[in-house]
Amino acid sequence: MRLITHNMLKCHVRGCDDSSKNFPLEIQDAQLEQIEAEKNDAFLVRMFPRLEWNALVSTAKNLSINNLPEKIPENIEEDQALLEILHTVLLETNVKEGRMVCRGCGHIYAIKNSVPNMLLAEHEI
Amino acid sequence: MNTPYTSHLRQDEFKSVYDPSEDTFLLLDALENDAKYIQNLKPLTCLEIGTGSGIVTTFLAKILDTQQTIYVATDINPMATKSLLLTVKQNFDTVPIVEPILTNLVGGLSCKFDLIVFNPPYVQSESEEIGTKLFAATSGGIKGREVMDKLFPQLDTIMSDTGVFYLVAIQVNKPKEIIEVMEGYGFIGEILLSRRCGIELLYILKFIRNKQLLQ
Repeated sequence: MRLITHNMLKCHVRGCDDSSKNFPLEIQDAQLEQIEAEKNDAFLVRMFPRLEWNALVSTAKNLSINNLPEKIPENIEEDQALLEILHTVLLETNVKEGRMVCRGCGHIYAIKNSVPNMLLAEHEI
Repeated sequence: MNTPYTSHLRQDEFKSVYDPSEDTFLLLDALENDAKYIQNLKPLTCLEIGTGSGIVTTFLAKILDTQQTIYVATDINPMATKSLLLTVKQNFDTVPIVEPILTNLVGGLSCKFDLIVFNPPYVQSESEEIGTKLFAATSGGIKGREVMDKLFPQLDTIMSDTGVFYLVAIQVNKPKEIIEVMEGYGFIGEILLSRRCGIELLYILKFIRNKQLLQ
């Protein structure tokens, strides 16, 4: 699971509806790896407005990635250095193993072989 | 366009993964017919629900032929997520960004998708068969509609305003009724393609949002 994908996931346990807690999921015991991806600035620039920036920054920090600006950056299309960082963080940083914990209900979602497991039993949905 | 290779499916470990069949190929044909529309849409985020072999996501990536899209694909079967990555890998030199997620339909997804595609389990069956090991890829319960009917009310929250949704269905699912149901959720639908295959009449439905309902 690349970090861009983590930015798209929230807890979906029934009744866990507090959006300040069910997103982002807290990554724990992560085994990270760097994978190579084709750099594409146009994609990043278009994707940027859709990112949950605060969630991305807090998640990255939690994984000891400290080079993202706290404040939502402006004019990123002109900021080559930032595009480079975003590319590395979003598309090349992969969580191979680990787990994601909901800060609301405590539900644990495992990440195995780079695949997040968001499956819930019928009674949990 | 060539059909993507999925030769790994012959291996025993993938026997739980749905083999590309007539319905898959009809969906690929429909997507290819609609290629201009899809290319003009320039989708940033694509989602395939119940990806199975991964052939449909791979085909979409071929149609779009850019590195400007992230492809998210869900399935409840871990072997499907594995197959997806193998299918993508063997059909591209430069592998696009494809992210598999194990989940029920779209459970846990919090972002908006520009293109969504779903070849659901649509075969009429006992409700109890839904999601079981042997029948998860095919059994759709009453009228074959139970799984897709669960998805329809959730689409509004995961589809972007300009998004498009492609769905496979058969006659017994009542495609026209599906379009009516979707109208109730704020979507406009049409039959994009249909084909007779043995005793089955297969359909590909295409939905966009009813723009008049958007603020």
